[in-house]
Amino acid sequence: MVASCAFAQTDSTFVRFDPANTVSGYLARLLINEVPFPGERAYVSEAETQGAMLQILWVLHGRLRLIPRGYRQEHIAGVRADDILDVICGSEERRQCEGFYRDKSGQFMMDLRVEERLNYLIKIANSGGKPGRFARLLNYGQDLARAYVAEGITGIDRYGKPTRVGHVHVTGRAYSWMTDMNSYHPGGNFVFIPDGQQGALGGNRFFTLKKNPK
Amino acid sequence: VNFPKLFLLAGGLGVLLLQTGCQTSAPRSVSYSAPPPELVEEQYLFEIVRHLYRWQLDESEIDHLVTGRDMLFWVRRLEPKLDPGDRSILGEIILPQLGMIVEVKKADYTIEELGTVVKSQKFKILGITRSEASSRPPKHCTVVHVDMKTMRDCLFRTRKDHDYADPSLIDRLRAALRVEAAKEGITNAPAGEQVVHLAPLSPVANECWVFWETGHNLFRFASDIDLANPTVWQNETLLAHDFHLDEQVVVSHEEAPGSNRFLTRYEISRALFNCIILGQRVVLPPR
Repeated sequence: MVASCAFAQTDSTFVRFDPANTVSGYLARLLINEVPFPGERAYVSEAETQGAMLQILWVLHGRLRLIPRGYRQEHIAGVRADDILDVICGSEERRQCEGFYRDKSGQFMMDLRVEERLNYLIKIANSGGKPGRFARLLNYGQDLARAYVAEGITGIDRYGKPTRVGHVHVTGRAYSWMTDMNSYHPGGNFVFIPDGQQGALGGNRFFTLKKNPK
Repeated sequence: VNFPKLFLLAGGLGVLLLQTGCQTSAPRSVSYSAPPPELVEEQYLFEIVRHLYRWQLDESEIDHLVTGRDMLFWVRRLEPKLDPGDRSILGEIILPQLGMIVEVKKADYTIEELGTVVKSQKFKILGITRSEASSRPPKHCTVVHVDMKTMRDCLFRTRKDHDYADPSLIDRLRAALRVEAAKEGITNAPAGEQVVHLAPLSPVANECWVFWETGHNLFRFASDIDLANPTVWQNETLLAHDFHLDEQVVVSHEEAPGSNRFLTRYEISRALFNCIILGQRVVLPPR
């Protein structure tokens, strides 16, 4: 696995990303990495890709600040953390988000392909005469991250309210997401949010938690 | 640096629109209607089941399924709000006996920035979900019955069909694999030829799985653009996903709850069976 050390700020005509060694830059890269862009598998619409980014941010925020009664943070996030970057990276042994981790010196790192894809998306975003969907989506992710760092989370949590999934009582809110390949399940007390409750979004499947942990 | 202000100054009012309302997220609004005829053709549904048989179903599900007289499909069109100018058609195929929902898409839109037309000739699988089956078909569904014996015989007869990629696609895959392997540092590993195994392709799934022997990597190439379209390979960076089998495999997700990093040994076994046993061995000669 190759780690990226390219922490220079990425500037361009229509898109500007914060450096990867800032909280807002690292978080934005995670949000962008997890969702499909036009032409990629599972792309449905700009609104859906944006919605997925916001829900992923809600998951991270929930793991950091909204631990439901009966749970400890490490049950949900795999780590005890008071920082969103630690929530993203998890522990050395059990990373939480593929491609994002701390190196042995404690630096926040990404797999090379994360930065490579981002640079490619930026290149496409800048290849028209005016900002299009790619620019809007990239800017959305960066703005979302920047606003989160500055002001905390805003925006509607579409999974905030459900108290039941089928016959299972749940906590509400999503606490995990996975690429929607059907066979994936994150284990533990996570409960699959079905399509009828909008559980599939932007190429990802979201999971809430059992109300009463096993 | 107050980026929004700088950006507004630089980009003008048009760009202002990009910044507004960026944190709202309306619920996904989907309406439904009767399915397009292609989706209820028996041959198409056979291919969907063949794909599930190869990539999803296990022994107990097949055992359960074949006890029925007919195989049932509930099929409808999905109409989510798409981007302006996007003429893609989406559909949903529910297999109530298996508790599975297959979402499919026939893409038809343009990526303006690239001038690329994304247009599929057929409906391709967008996602597969397992869910508790309702007792009745949802609204707007067309119900299709297929004789179970015919289906069972078809699955048995075609279980080892190869459906290999054509030579031009293999050439493109070779080139893409070299790039991907270089990223992973694999090509600097043992000198000499590299061996990869390509899983059979499905006409209803726009993806290709490849096992790279030397690197112990599994690559998945998938796109909204048909893999047979040469254009897609010009954007190879957006196509490939790799799994490091030495690091990313667990027996159960219970070992690392909540992480999206791992695949189970069962999932990997199935992919390796498709790549190695049913797939095509391709040699990449040393450069």
